Amino acid sequence: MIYMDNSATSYPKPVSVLRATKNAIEKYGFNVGRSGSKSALGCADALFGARLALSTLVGTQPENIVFTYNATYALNMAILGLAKGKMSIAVDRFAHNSVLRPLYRLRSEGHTVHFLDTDAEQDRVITSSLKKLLAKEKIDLLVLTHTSNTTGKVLPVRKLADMAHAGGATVLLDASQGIGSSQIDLSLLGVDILASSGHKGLYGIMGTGFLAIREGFSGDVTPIITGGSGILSGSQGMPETFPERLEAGTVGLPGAISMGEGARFIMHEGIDAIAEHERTLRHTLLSGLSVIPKVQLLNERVNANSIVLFNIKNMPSEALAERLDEYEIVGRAGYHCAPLAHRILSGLNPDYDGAFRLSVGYFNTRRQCDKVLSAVSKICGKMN
Amino acid sequence: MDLLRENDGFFLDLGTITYAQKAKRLLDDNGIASTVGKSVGRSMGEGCSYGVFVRGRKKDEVLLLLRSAGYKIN
Repeated sequence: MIYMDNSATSYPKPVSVLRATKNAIEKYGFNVGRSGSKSALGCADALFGARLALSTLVGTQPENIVFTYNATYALNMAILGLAKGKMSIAVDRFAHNSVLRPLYRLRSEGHTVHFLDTDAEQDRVITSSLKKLLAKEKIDLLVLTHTSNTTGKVLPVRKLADMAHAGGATVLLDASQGIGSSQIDLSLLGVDILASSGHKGLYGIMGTGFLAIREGFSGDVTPIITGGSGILSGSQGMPETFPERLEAGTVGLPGAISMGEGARFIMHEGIDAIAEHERTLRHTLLSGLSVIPKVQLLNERVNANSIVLFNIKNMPSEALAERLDEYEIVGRAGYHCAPLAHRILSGLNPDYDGAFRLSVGYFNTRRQCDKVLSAVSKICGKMN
Repeated sequence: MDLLRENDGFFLDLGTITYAQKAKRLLDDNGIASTVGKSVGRSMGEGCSYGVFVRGRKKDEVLLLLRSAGYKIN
């Protein structure tokens, strides 16, 4: 099987992640922060190690890492937890539904949501759009997508964050797609809160994600999920201290360990090396696809790391996915849960109905790319 | 455990398990051996609290280090 759906979930996982996760399941079966037994304290030490690795990767303190069950949980916790009064919120159009749907909910509750003009290739469109918006009104929250899961385009996060901060806004970043293959550091990017999945570029197991909060961030993220925290048990509310404030209930320790080990793997291999490998494979795919008749490339001009988005003329993307599955090639068809991003790509084409995405990962090879190109060529050839 | 703490070293209550673990790493990095433990003698309404148990070092030295790292210890 050739797996090229790494933007959804990375596969396979590094051996070190598999070993650490298996070890956690076998040995760390005791609740953290509830007991003083040696066994529980051993689990706490392992969990803290994962927090420390993640905090090192994204540039914050370990206590500012909040473990969640995926990026969707993390984004909901941040977006809904930051909502106070009647807010004015701005968001780019690359946003995934895990961002858009909480925002639609807030809009239905009376908050204002502005969708910034976002171009598939040009940074100046979104910077200009935000500038115009900030000149008109105060924005309380800016939600940004680091890397589009549809095209692989990376937004000018630092510039946008600086503009938003100058206007007094809090900046939340969805780093799910960039983490592991881009330098994602809270202080370097100038963002206040970062949400990410653990199972994509971090190489953690499925059902993992986290929130990272900038050191010194003074805003309040009100817990939307409350429950046991191990501390202040007599209190009716969640504690003020992080991460316990946002970690109600038992933490998914094996998953957290897998993310921590994934972070160590990334730091060991080097972000630049991972990105370079993915870019090389992407270039191979783009070059090969560009000479196959009927292939319509959709993001070839985007300066992306890993994503190749395309269609075959007169073939729905779902049909292409089915045909490629016959060659045991896995990609992803459709809208990729990012409907606004696809609207940018579709332009005025009424027949546009999504696209097929190949997203290469660190464990893909040149040989696999050649096999994909051969399969696409055969599929196109049979259409004649 | 309480007797051990009183006679052979000292225990600093740091609140959450996360802060206790962080303090232990900081002390390790500075060559000060410590173990994380649960604070005893608190009311159940307060819930769990954790800290570090340090032997063979002066309390003032450890307090200074932790306070310089941002720990607020009474």
